[in-house]
Amino acid sequence: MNKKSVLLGEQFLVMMGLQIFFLNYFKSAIVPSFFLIWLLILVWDGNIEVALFMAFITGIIYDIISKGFYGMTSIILLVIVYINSFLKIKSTTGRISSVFIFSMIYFIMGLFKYPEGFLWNFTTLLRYSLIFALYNSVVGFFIEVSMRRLRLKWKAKKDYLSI
Amino acid sequence: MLWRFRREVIFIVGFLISFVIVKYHSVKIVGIENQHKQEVKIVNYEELIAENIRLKEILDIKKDTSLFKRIVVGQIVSIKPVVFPVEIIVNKGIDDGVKENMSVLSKDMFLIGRVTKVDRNTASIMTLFNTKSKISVIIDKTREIGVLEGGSIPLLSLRYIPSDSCVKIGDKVITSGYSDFYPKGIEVGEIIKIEKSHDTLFLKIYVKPFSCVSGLEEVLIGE
Repeated sequence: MNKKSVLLGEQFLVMMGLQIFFLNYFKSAIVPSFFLIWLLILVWDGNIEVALFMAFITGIIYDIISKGFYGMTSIILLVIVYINSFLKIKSTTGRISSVFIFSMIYFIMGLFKYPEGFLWNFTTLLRYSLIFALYNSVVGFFIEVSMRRLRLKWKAKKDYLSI
Repeated sequence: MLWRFRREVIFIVGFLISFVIVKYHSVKIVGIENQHKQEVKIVNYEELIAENIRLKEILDIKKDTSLFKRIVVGQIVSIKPVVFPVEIIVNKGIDDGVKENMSVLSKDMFLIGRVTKVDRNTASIMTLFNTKSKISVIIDKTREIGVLEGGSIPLLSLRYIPSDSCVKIGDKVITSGYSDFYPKGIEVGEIIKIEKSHDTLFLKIYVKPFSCVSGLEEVLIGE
């Protein structure tokens, strides 16, 4: 197993730990999605195929830990990662803005059911998707900053593996 | 050739697998649960005791209730979304006598919603929070009839109560019995906000449901 896979595996475990912790102990109706933020950053760092594969896996895991409809989150994450794979965003501001927009899309898509339409009314949907997007942007900022620092550290050690 | 379109290939394959899982998830969940029940010999006794207490409470309620001819106890296997669920799937279906439009209640006999779709072993429940949910209700004290609508999470909006009504914050809301789905007298929630509007003949009333759907494990399905 190469070092890149090990590092990705480590990141995945950290994100899963944080997601489970927040789902169980965060005293709020809305919980940020660590998986979504991580997948978006993976794509921007050039790991598109890995991100698509992980979108499927993390989606299933998220549905299991949150008692959701199995497969639903996978579909949403796959669509978001696929769309995002056409964007090349380098700046932190651009990335945080994208996290905000994609988080809103993720939340709104999660409450759509064919052929019934949206399961909440428009105002409520907008209000909660904004809160969710705001949470994710804050979390996304910290993850992005910490990952940037890690990248610089690896670069300095000449062990940079495009994470 | 395929390597060039690897992004699209992974996306399509992942999407199709997820779609198949979504399509058959309820059957699979029930299948796994049943298999699990047969195979697992070591049990978590604390969990078993807690479940036993919950089911005993439900049994007591079943003995007391006069609202329904028949009650089926269903275990929740899936909820959507995690916060303020609008749809629930339970492990009881046609084989257990569950039919469409049966009322669904919490173990404290508070209204949760109604059955909208039934399969052999599972039933899909539309909760009060769903935008499609419209229930005919009566305000306990003033006896005025209104329609309780979902969608305005985390509250429910009570419509068609005239602006000269004597309704107060804290008044209970119960089912009216005028609809085909719910019998009369099931407690739904209490009024927590009243707004008067000059451009309409009706009050804008918000109701907080009694049942905490997110924390439920078992539900009562009544006919």
